Amino acid sequence: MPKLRPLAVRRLIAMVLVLAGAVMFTVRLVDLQVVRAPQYNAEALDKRGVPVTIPSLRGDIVDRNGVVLATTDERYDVQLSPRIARANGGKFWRNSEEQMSAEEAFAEIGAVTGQSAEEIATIVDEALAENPKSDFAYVKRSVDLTALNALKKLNIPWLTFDVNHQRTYPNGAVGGSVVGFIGSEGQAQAGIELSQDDCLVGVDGEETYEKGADGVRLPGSVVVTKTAENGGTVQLTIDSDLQYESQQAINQQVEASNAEWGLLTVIDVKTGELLAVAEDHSVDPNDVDASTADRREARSFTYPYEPGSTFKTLTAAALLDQGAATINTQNLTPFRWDPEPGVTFADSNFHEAVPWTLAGIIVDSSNVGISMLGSRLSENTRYEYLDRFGIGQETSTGMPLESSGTLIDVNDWDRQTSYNTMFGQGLSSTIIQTASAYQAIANNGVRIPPTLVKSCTSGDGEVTARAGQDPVEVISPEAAVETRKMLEAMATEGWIAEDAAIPGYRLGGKTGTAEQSDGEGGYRSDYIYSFAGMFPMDDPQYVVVSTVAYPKVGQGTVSAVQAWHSAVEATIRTFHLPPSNGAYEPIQLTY
Amino acid sequence: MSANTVPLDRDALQQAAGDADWLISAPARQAHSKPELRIVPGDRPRARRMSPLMGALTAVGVILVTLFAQLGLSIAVSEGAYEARALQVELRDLTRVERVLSQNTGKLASPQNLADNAAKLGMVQNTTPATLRLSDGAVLGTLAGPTAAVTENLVPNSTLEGLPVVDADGLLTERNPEQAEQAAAAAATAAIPWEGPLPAPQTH
Repeated sequence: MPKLRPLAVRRLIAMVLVLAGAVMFTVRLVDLQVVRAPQYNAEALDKRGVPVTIPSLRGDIVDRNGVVLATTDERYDVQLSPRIARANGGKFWRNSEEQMSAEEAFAEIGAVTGQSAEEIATIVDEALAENPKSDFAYVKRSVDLTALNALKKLNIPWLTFDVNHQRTYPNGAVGGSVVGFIGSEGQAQAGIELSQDDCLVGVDGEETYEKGADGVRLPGSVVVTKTAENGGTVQLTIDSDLQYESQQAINQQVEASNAEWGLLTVIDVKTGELLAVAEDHSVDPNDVDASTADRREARSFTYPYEPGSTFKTLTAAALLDQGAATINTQNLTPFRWDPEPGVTFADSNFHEAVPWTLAGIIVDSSNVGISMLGSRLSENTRYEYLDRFGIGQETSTGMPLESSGTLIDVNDWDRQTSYNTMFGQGLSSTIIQTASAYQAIANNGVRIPPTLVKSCTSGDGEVTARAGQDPVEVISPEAAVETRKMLEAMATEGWIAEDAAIPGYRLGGKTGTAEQSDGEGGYRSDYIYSFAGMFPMDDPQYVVVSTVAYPKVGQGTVSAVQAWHSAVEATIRTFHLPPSNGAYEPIQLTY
Repeated sequence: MSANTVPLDRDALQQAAGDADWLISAPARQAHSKPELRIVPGDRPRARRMSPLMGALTAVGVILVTLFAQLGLSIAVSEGAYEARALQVELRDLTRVERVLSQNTGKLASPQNLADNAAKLGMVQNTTPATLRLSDGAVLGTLAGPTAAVTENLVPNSTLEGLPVVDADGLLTERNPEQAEQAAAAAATAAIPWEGPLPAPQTH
C-alpha cells in the first residue's frame, strides 16, 4: 500500500464524513417522504384539513315542452357560534372599526329573519346551557336569497350560512299526483319523483379546506377532491297546459255532480304518449298535507274499475276482425235474454224487441244485443282479443305503481262472467288501459303501449330515451275503420250527441255505465260513468277517456261527456287542430 | 486535470464544436488536432478574460434578477388566484339570482296564475279558435266562434300564495279576496301586530 501524504489523508477523512452525512440524510429523507408519508399526511390533514360535502342538485321534472314541473330551490340555513357570540362579554368588532354588542347584533339579525332579539338570545343561551363550548346553533332554517344577502351585509363574524335544498313545484297541482313529491329529508315518496329517482339523484362531491388555529378557513386552501354531479332531468310526455285544462274539466264535473272521484286521460294515437292524466283534486306537491291520502295517489294508474259498456266496442271490434259480423249484421234484440240455465241479463231500459244492426246495438248500448252477437265467438277467442287490447296486463308507462286490473283466466270464467265480459262487467281496467285499447282502434288496429316518461337527460347532457314496449297488432286496419264508423255514429246520432258535439270536428266515442263490486260479493247501487272516444274521425289523432264515479246529482253520463267535451276542446286549442275534412256518413242502425 | 489550466484555443474549439468526435473520445480528438498545434500569442486570451470579481457580480446579478422575476410571477399568480376566487363567488351569487328569477318566472307562467289574471282582466276564451292555412290562405273554422268565460281556477298552487293579480284597471288586487278578508280579520283581532318582512312559505 502506497504511503499517503497527510493532506490526502485529511481529504479522505473529510470525504468519508461528507458521504456518511449524505447517506444519513438520504435515509431519513426516504423514511419521511416515502415510508411514513401517508401516515404523516393523514395526521397533518386531520389537524388542519376540514372535509366538506358539496351537495348535488336533484334534477328537474319537465313536461313535453320543457315546462318545469318540479325543480330544486336553494334555501339557506342561518347558523351561529354561541360560544363566540358570548365570548369577550359579547363585544366584538364589525369591519375592525365599529364595536358592537351581541344584543345589538341579535336585533339586527332578527329584523331580517322575523325573530325578536330575545328569541335569538334564548337560542344562544340554551345552546350554551347544554354545552358551554357550543359552536353551533340554528338561528333560522330555510331563509330565501333576499334574507341571505341582507344577513351577509350585517358582517357579523360569528354568523354563518349553509345551503339547504328544497323541492318546489312551480305549477302546483298541475300533474301533481303524477309528478309526485319527496319527503322532508329528501327521500322520494310518490309518482315520477319515486319511479325516476335514479335519474334525478346526483352524486355529491367533496372538498377539503384548511383551518387556522382559531378555526377560520384559510383562504386559497380549498381543494375539491370530487366534483359534484347534478342529477338528470326527466322529461314527461305530459303537456302541462292540456293537463291543467283537463284537471279543470274533471274538477268542475266532479264538483257539479257531487261525485266521489273523476278521471280524465288524453293519449296521442300515433305514439301512445299520455298527453294529460287528470284526476279530480289531485295533490299540490308543494303542500302535500292539504290532500287526503287517496288524492296524493295517481289514481289513473292504480284505481281499476269495471268499465262497462265502453268495452262493447272491443267485443264488436273482435267480431268484425274475425269476420263473424259486419256493422250491418242484423239482430232482433229482446229486452231480456236467458241464454243458458241460470244465466240471465237485460238491457238497462225496458224495450220491445228491436231490429238493430250491430251498429244500432252499439249506439243504443244493448247488453243483450252485444251478447247475442258476441257469443258467435268462442270464449277463448274473446279472451285473446281482450288480452291483446292490454286488459289484465300492467301498463308500463314509467310510474312506480301501475295496476293490471282484473281479467280472470278464461278457464276460470263462470257462465255469467262469460257473457258479462262482452259488455265490460266481470273484469276491471284502469283508465289508462281503457285509453290504450281505444288507441289501438284509432291507430288502425295497432296498439302502442302507453308511455308517460320520455327521457332522462343526465347532468352532463347525455339523453337516454326510455325504452317503450313493442306495439301489438290487435285487429286489422279494415276492422278498425268499421269500428270507428260505429263510434262516430254514437257521438253524432246517439243520445249524448248534443253534449259531445263541437261544430266542424268529427268525433267518435262510446258511453259506459258500470256497476261496481261493493267488496262483499255484491254490486253497489250507484255507478261509474265514463265516455271513451277519439277525434278527428277522418284521421284520429287523440283518444280521450273521462270517468265520473258515483255522482249524486244529475246524470252521470252527461257529466262524463261534458268533461270529455271540454278536454277535446282544450286539445284542439293546445295542438291548433284545424276542423275535420269530409263529413259523417250515416250508417244503418235498424232494419 | 492540469489540461484545464492551459488557455483554450477558441478557433480550435469552434472547429471542434462542429465535430462530434471530441465529445465522445478525448484521445481521438487529441490525435486529430495534433498537426494543427501552433504557438499561441500570450496576451490574446488574457485580454478577453473576465476578471473574477466581474464574474461573481454577474452571477449574483443573474441570481437576483431570477429571484425578483420569480417574486413578481408569484405575486401575479396569487393575485390571479384572488381574482379567480372573487369571480367564482360572483358566479355562484349570480347563479343563485338566476335560479330565483327563473323560479319566479316558472310560477308566474303557471296556468293557474295566467287563468287568475285572465279572469280578473275580464278575458273570455275562444273555445275553438279558427285556423289560417298558410299554403292557400284559407281560414278553417269560424272566426266568430263560441266563447266561454274563464272558469274559476280549481287546481291549487301554493307557490302563488300572496302574489297579487292585475285587474282590468291595471291595479294589483288580491288573488283570493275571501282568504284575504279572513286574513285581514284575523290580523285585526290579533293582539300583536306583525313586524318585519313576512316569512316565506314553507314548501317541501
